[in-house]
Amino acid sequence: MEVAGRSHRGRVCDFSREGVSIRTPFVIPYRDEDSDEALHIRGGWPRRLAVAGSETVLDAKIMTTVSSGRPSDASCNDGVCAMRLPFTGSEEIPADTEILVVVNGFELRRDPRRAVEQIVAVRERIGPGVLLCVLGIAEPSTLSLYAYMGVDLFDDSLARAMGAEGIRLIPEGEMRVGTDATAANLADLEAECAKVGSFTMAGRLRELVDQRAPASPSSVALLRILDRVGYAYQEESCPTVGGRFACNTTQSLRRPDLARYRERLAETFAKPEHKRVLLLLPCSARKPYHTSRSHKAFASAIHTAPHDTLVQEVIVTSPLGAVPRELDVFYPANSYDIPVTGEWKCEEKEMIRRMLADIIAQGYDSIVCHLGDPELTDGLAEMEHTVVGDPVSPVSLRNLDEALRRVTTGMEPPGYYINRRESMRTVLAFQFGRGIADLILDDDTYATGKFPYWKLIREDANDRSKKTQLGMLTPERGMVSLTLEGAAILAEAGAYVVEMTDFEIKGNLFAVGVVDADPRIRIGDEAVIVCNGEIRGVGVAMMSGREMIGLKRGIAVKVRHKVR
Amino acid sequence: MKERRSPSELEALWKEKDLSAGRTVDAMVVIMRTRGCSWAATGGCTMCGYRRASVKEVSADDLGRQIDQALAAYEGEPFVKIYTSGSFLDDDEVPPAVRERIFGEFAACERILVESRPEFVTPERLATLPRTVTLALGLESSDPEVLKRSVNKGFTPEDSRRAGLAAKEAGLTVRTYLLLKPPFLTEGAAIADTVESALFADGFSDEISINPLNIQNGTLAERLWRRGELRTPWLWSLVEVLRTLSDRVGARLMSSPSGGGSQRGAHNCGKCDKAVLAAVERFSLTQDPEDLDVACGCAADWKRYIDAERLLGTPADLERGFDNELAIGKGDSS
Repeated sequence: MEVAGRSHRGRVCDFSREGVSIRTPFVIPYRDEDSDEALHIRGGWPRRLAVAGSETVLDAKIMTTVSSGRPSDASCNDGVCAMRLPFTGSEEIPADTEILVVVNGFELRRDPRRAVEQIVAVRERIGPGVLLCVLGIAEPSTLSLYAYMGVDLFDDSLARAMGAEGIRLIPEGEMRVGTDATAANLADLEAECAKVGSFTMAGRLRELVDQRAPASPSSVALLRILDRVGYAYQEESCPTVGGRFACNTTQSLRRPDLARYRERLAETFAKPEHKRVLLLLPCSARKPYHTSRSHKAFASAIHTAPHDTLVQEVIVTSPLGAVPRELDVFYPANSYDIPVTGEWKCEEKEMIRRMLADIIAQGYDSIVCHLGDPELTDGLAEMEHTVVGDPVSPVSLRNLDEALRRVTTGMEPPGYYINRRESMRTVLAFQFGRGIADLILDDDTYATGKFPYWKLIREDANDRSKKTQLGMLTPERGMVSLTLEGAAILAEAGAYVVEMTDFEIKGNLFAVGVVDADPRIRIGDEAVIVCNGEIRGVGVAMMSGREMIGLKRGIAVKVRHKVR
Repeated sequence: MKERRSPSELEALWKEKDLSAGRTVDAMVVIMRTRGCSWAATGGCTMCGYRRASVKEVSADDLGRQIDQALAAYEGEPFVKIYTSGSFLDDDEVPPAVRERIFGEFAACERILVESRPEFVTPERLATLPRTVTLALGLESSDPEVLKRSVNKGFTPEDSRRAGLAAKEAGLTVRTYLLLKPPFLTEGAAIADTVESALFADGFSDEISINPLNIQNGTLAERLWRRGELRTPWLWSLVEVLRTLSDRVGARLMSSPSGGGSQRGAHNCGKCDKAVLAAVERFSLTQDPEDLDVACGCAADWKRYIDAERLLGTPADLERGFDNELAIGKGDSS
């Protein structure tokens, strides 16, 4: 089994055995008669799952149900384990299991809370290396949701059973048609499964899920509960880099990657001491913000004199809340799209106000608000409003320039060296945490270059002419990429470390060579490769830390620099 | 609020028709209020709500007064059935002296039916019973796994068989109760289970009475039913079982489904339930499988239901599970 594509917990996996291979997500067909298909369910009683010619019995006479409080033993054969819910965690699952089959998934269909709790529990128990198959739940309207929760394999039993009752299952809901709808249901299920695969390969399964969830109240509930109760589970699989995506529904504001951004900002952002003026700016459609026409216009009004180093720019936006300027190249600030009509939903408004209040509470001498929407800031603090009509109108821009000059009058602006260095601290803290940021930015280390291409330079304390580059912030990467010297600091601190078996890396580091990995590592993060306490390389994590340990195949770290 | 139940009053008493010595006779049914089933005290069976029909302390005097009430209502019916919410042969529930008085009072009856768990069926106790006694045994299923995991019966099918054979040995007649569709069995599995169980029971039973599951208060079955994870059996399944067995067992087959036709009892579509129940009642008296010939369009729904359970691998209530008031076309009159 090899993971070919990921989108949060959703995955596309290639599974092969005995010369046959299938790609997930996959709907296992139900067959009443003998079939030579590589993967199918042989119907009748009991059902059997046929995988490349080997059959596993799925049913027993006694069918305990998910809320019976009576767990049952898994029945395993040749790498396939069949299990009835409830899953308690104490079930024996052999280490050589390749496919875990939940045979009574139907009982989760109308119970979103239990569905989230049980599917997360099963996946956590079996780890990433096992295909998770849930029978009896797949229908066109929910297949994407369950795939997004981490289910790899489905079956067509529900589409058949409901089709026989004259119920037509479509991605948008259900229709009573009065005649057998099996064939049409199966066709739609197949088509939806293909879509789920495409969205997953594009890393954008969440957007399909956001579209499908409103098909029924229980699907909405499923996604809500998953976003809340399953946050830690989902978050672990969210990359820290990525391409453009849209937040078109209310629930999409609660995407785990967005929630993580807000959480991480709250944890790591501390106002640099020299920043004495808070400037609130509106977001732009173009990302990163600083490349947009409007933000270039703002820049022309901000960077008119050395007082600009006193100004902490914060972009106010939904669904992220607040983005300090120096983080605007980071995911997801550099990637989201949202419909803009000037209306704010209560949830967006509350979130923005809460985050602004936290930033304001860090203490500024004055606040300049260059937002057109007073409702976002009303009552938060005393501030000067500079927008008249359009934020980029000449009047607004003149107001902005004048306001900044006025509020900084009499203040001693720090040099650009200090400003860049401390802003880099904000960047490093967001990426690695405050402790690591402080380790990297010791007394001999500073940043050079023009934003956002900031280089991290460390000078030799005994010979100032000896300079070593530790890393560089680039918008292309959306974070700081480290050199081997920079990576050594992380290795020393035991952060973002991947421990490999002892061999010479050729190209990339594969999962099979990973012994241990920092569970903090997310896809897209910097990963430092270490062997027996010695640094061997640095690169980009292509799996989460726990996946590197749990998977046997696939690239774990795309190596950028390695020790020769 | 329910009135506090008095330990000196009967739980219930009614009259009905039943068979005795091959003919239909008047029968009196007496449900005594006792301290309850010894097994219920340790958790009890998954479908049995009778612990609610018992009270904490019932003295021999209380039981005596209950007998007085039964005698006051007695009009010489040839058949008397005396049930407790547990075992009539459990000395802690019904003291030997009380049993003795009952048999004395109803000595003229041609048939007296009492019920007991097999652990109380000992040769010593059997020796104290008149030959007019029919011993009723709640076998439920001949599958030890079903008894253990679905019913939580606390004894094995072998225990029942031993008790049944001992009763026959003592010259009594035996009626065996089977439970059609205990929790965790699909409709299809339940039919097969009851058929097999009847063949097993036939070896030591004069009568086999099939009780389709009904949902009683405070039981595991009720909890599962409320969650949609259980459907009480279709009446078609009962008909199927009786039809299959009619030429395969020597014992008399009967069924009188509690709550039949309601959501909590065995039911079909609602339109044919009365007719099917009447057919079952007729069959119970005549043993003629032709009496089971009833037709309704929902028989096809029942067949599809069994197929769907098999497809989905669940005993959950698929009728409720598939129902969706928001489905397009749901409100159409077509």
